[in-house]
Amino acid sequence: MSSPPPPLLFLITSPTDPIYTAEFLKPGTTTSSSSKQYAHYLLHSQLDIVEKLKHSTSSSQLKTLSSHPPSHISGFLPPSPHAFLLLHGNMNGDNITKFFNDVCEVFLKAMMNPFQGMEDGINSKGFDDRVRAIARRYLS
Amino acid sequence: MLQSSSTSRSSHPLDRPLHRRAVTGSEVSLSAFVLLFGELVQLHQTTSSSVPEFEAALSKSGWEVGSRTYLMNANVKVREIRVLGVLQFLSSNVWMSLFNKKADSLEKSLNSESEYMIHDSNPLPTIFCEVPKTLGSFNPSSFVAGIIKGALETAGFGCEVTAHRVEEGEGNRTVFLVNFCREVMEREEAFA
Repeated sequence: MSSPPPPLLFLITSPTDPIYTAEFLKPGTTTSSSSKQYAHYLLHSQLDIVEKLKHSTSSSQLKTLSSHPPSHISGFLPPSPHAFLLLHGNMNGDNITKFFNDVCEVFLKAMMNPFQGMEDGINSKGFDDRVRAIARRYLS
Repeated sequence: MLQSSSTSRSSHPLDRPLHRRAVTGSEVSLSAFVLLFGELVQLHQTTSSSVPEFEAALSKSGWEVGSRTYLMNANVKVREIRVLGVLQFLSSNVWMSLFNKKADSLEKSLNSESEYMIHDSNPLPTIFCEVPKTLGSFNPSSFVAGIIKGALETAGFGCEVTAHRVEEGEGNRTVFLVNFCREVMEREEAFA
């Protein structure tokens, strides 16, 4: 009996704080709070590596940062000082790349909002809806 | 007259296209911009109690502009991690996007390792600005200095930027002095 697949957890973080998190659940499934906590812990553990990569690599797709089977973590660096992190269960790299690119497009538009600061959380429902739609398109 | 042909009132802000390259209809008329900038300057003048405070407030407004302009124009696939790279991007792409021309020149200072200079013979936001004598040393190009700082800091390069008028009688030749912070220079050295 294999363990349930790891939750799909997406995180956008500024240099100081997370500014957006989303868990993409298949309809009908739930995740236990302990696996949720573990998922968050795994994602945040990659932040140091991402900080180092920010200044050493010019590519924005960071590909797979680490694997703790069955979970894998992929990263993406937008032009701003933020980082995108995705916890997933061994998904197709191309889909993840497309996911990050599309979310980046929406993210940059969200940053254009004069009321949205670099360090502020993204609370817009419109942003949340669009990120979830992109996740449904590429990550399910 | 502001035209909104490319934006529909009913579409969500996150669905509207980001005009990365100037598209007919995405440009702003100079008069509209100058009117808005004039109001911005007057707002800061009334809320500031000293010339340095006035310049700092104007610079902060410029910071927001520079930050967002950088994000709009930056290449999403390839990020700038070198000082010279980001400065060249700034003096060509960002300048083109905002002022429809490139900066006159980009120089490295001979005095200091961390200082660079961007020259502009007549920065666009301030082409109609004539500072009254009562304001003394106030330089309205601190708005553009703020733009530079916002763009560079958003790209990950902490710095201080100041605007200096090059004395030449009637012209408004301006030099922007960019001084990168220690952390940035240490990163640069690691590349060498």
